[in-house]
Amino acid sequence: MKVLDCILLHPTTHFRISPYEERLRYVIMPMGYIASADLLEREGYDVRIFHTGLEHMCNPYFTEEEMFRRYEAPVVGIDLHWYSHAYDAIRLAKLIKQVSNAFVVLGGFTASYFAEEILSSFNCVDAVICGEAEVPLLELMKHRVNGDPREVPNLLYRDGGSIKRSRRRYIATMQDLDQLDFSNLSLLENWEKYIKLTCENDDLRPKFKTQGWICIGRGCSVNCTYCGGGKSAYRNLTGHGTPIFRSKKKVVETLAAFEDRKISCAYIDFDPYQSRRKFYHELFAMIRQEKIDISSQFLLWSLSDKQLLRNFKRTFNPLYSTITLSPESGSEYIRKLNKGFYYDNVALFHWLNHAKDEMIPIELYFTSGLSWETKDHFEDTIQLGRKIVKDYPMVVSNVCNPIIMEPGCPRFVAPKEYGISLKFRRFADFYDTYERFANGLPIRSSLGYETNQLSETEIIQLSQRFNELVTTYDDYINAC
Amino acid sequence: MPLKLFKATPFIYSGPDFKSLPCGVISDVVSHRGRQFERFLPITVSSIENNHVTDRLFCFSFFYVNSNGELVLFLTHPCWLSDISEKSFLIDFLLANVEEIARSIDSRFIEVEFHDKVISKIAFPTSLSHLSYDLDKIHIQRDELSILTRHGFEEETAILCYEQKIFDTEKLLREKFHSLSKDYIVTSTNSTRLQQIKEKKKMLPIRSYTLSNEMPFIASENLPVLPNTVFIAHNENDIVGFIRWFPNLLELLQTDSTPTPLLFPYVLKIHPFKHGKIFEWSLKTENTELFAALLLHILQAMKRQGLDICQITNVCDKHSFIKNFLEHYGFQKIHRMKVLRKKVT
Repeated sequence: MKVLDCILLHPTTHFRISPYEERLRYVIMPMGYIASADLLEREGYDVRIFHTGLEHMCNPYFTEEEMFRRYEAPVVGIDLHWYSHAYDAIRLAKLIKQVSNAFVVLGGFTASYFAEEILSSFNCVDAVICGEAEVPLLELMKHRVNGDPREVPNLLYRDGGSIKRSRRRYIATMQDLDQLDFSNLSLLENWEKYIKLTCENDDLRPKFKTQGWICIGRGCSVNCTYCGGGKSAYRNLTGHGTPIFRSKKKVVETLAAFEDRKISCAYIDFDPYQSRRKFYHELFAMIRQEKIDISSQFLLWSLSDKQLLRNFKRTFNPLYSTITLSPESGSEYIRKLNKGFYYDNVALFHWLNHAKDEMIPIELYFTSGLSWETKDHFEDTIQLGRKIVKDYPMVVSNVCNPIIMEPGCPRFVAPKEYGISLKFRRFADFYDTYERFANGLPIRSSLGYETNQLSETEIIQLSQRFNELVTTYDDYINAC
Repeated sequence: MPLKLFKATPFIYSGPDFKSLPCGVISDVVSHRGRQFERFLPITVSSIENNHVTDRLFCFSFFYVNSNGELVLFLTHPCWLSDISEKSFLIDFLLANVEEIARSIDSRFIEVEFHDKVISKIAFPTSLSHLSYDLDKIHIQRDELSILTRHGFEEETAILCYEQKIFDTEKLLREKFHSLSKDYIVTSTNSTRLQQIKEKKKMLPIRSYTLSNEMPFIASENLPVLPNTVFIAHNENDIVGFIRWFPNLLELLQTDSTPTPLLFPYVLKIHPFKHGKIFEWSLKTENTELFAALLLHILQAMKRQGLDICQITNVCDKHSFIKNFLEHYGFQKIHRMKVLRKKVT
């Protein structure tokens, strides 16, 4: 038995397909988890991260019970950032309480949003860190023995029969972010396998690239109707009114560390200001100056000018480099009503032409179930998708997925305003759904809502229809 | 597949699922005797020194089913990613692992493609596989051949590539074949027609070398049929000849760095290519006039597109008819590639 100061667990979504088979989904960890562990280690704590899904992938006979026979710690943290881990995070918390006396603390956006309900409903959870967690987790470790939980920032905790909130608030500044190290992957058990997971529903089948998720900053400047990480949600959950960036120097250091760890592709998903892309022009210049050899999957949140595309192309190794954009809808009307960053289809084609000129592979994402979207509006999405396949063969991914209700997004907070009927309202609804998925039982709802225009079944069918009608190799041949 | 590979030895991938390579996953499944498994197997040999991992050697490999129905693990030419010290040890290590992989899948043969001699700039495709390296950048170490031989690999065949200036060849051919037979006509074809004659052209006995007649795995299967790149000779009843070429995609690496230029087919139409390469050809009989007729159509098409040099590859060393023809009309041998084979015990 190895005794650690803190164990951090990452849950995974389990889908039971048959009595003998289950699939693991949502396998990517929040970026801050590595930084949290690293901060504890630098302060002298013995800490280790276990990704329970990854452990299952590495060893089909893995059980969490066996893991807790090998490791013990007085504090166990579990990330509950994404709602899809609602059931598995609590399942792990229950298990920890069965096998040990560890203090169980949750963190992440979903845990933050539903903190009171979680603490009221599940005795296995001792506390929730609401909002940013790196420094609060360190403070929790310091104050845990003979300390005062009221001194731990952002903490909601159980005190006897009541639930209390600490009196201190922690909101990370740019300087705070620069103190964090997001690249110390060695704190994660089997990290060499983790970098082989390249998307949320991935497994360990052999693939060509390895991937690392890099933190550029936090927050957003707009509110998309469906996003639980938009401006208002961020303000509500973390206190950040405006986005903050890490320094370019620190980002470059992380990329260099990724290169050392043989990570071939950096996933960059932070683009909160369409009009302020100077940060990226300067960052790209520094990456070139430091001669860092890495590819990038770069997610643009809005359209860019040609210069950004050109600099992207000059900066990153082209082997695994792509730019991702999510127009969401082919209907300009629906896009305008739902997306914080609006652009019309003419501007989209203009941008795609630039990407074509620069020979950059593009990944595009569409969705169904947007507020006020009708079947007719969705026809525009299909038409747009087909035109893109025909005219832009460098679009390597062109898929549509139905939107799932995210806690804290504008549609969740004010469903009537957005023409939505919620099926998931409380944490218990998410928990129940993912428990049913894990046990292979019928579910009441998978998306958690329907719109005034479309039933849940129709929303799912529309995405399926898009994926059937769009993206075929024949289109590529015709484009030639 | 390490990033360093693309910088050190640029390549073009034109195989199945090429659209997904930028996303880091290419997927193609081989079916053999009721089992299915992933076709592609990129192998990197790394060493650890002072806690630091260094990639040393890369080998793109894949499974295919040959014309005898045997499952073969095929290795492309091994590429060095850093200094080539401990060469023998690293190749030994690679081959030991490869043999283990072959055994685990019940593949009884391993083949290696070895670029034995490169004299000039070699145009795309430079490989029997879907991965064509820029052979200007590859470090060819002939002593590696002896290491392979020591491991029991034997030469299966040698594949040759020839080249000649388009202007010169056309002139020579026109002088000799000024009036061509009326027994057949040569026409350019499109992708639909190419699909229709796929089986028929496989029946023509005098043909370019290919790893397998078994579908679905032909090195050219994903190349788009550009205008005037495929010609068929046919008489009233039958197809009697076939020839296909493609512009040298490796030229794009100098200006537009991408391992997957097929994602940008419009570039193929506007880029001022210098080299064109014939990589697939077949004839019903050893008929010099027929081959000349097909070649002349290709040369004209290349000339119209402003190309200077014509290369012709996949000429098997044993194909004396084609070799004699090409050498007679001034083609120079510029590339010899060996296919070595070993039985897995």
